[in-house]
Amino acid sequence: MITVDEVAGLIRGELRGKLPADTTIDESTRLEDLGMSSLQVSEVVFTLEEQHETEFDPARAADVKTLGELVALANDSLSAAAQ
Amino acid sequence: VRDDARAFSRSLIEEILPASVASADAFEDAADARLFPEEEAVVARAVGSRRRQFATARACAHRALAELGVAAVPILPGEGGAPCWPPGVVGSITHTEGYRASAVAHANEVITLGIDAEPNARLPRGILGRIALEAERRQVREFTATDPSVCWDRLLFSAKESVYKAWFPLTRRRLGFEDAAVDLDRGRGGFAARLLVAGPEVEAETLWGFAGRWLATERLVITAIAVPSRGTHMPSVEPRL
Repeated sequence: MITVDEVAGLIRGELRGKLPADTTIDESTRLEDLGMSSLQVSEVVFTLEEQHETEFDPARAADVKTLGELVALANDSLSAAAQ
Repeated sequence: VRDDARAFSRSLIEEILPASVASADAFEDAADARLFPEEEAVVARAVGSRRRQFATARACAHRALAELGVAAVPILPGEGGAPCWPPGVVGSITHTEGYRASAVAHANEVITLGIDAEPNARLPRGILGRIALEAERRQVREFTATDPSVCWDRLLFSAKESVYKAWFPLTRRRLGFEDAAVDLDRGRGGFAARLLVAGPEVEAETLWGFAGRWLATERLVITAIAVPSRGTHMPSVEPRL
C-alpha cells in the first residue's frame, strides 16, 4: 500500500528543499501548485513504479492533478498486479 | 551554444520562431506582474514560487498577444492543462528555472504551436531510458561525444515536450514519449518528429510529423514547433529513425 506520506516525501525530495518548510501537502494538494514541472512529476511516478515494481496506467498518470489522484493510481496499479 | 541569453533585445525564443509568431519572454520573475482575477484564482493555493512563475509566464502571454494586436484576456488552463487562447489565436507557454516564455499566432496563419524550455543540464539518472527510443538514445550518445556543450538528452526531452504541446490542441489526445520519433539536427538547429501513431487530419492532409527548431545557451535549451497553415506539413529534415 502506497501512502500519502510516502508520496509527499518523494515530492519534497524531488523539489530538493525549494518547498517552504511550512507547506502542507495532503491528498487535495495539486502538484502544479507546488511548482512541480512535468519532468518532476514523471520522476516521482517512475520512482514509485521502480520501488514498488509496478507499472502505472500511462493515460491516467498523464492526467494526475493531485497527490490523492497519484496515490489512488499507484494503489490501483498494485491491486491490479496482485490479482 | 550562445554565451549570454540576455544579449537579445527582443525575445530569445523569437530566434527559432517564424515571423508570423509573436513572442515574449523573461529571465526572472517580475514583482509587478499582474494577473486577471480569473488567473489569480488558478494559483490561489499555490506556493509563492509557483505563483510568481505563473504570473510571469502569463505576463509574457499578454505581451505576446499585444504584439499580435490582440487584447490581453485571461489565459486559463483548459483540458489537459493546455492554455486556452482567445478565438482565432493559437499559442504555447513554457517555464523553467530562470526562463518563462510565450508564443502566439493567428490561427489562420499557424495551425498549432508548441514551445518548451529546459535547463541545459543532463536529465536525472534513469529518465532518458524512459522517454527515448533506442535510435534517439543512440543519437544522444553520438552527439554528446561530439559536442558536450549541449545536453542532448535534455534537448531531446524538450523537443518531445514541444511535440506534445503542438499535438494536443489538434487531437485532444495523449501522446506518449514513445509515440513520436525525434531526429535532432546537430548542425542546423532543427529537428523532425515522426508520429508513430495516427496523426490528425489537418487541412485535408494527414499530419505525420512536426518540424521544429532548437537553440542552446549556457543555461537553457529551447525548442519550438510552428505548423504553418499553408504549404507542406512535412518536416524539412527527413527523419532517419
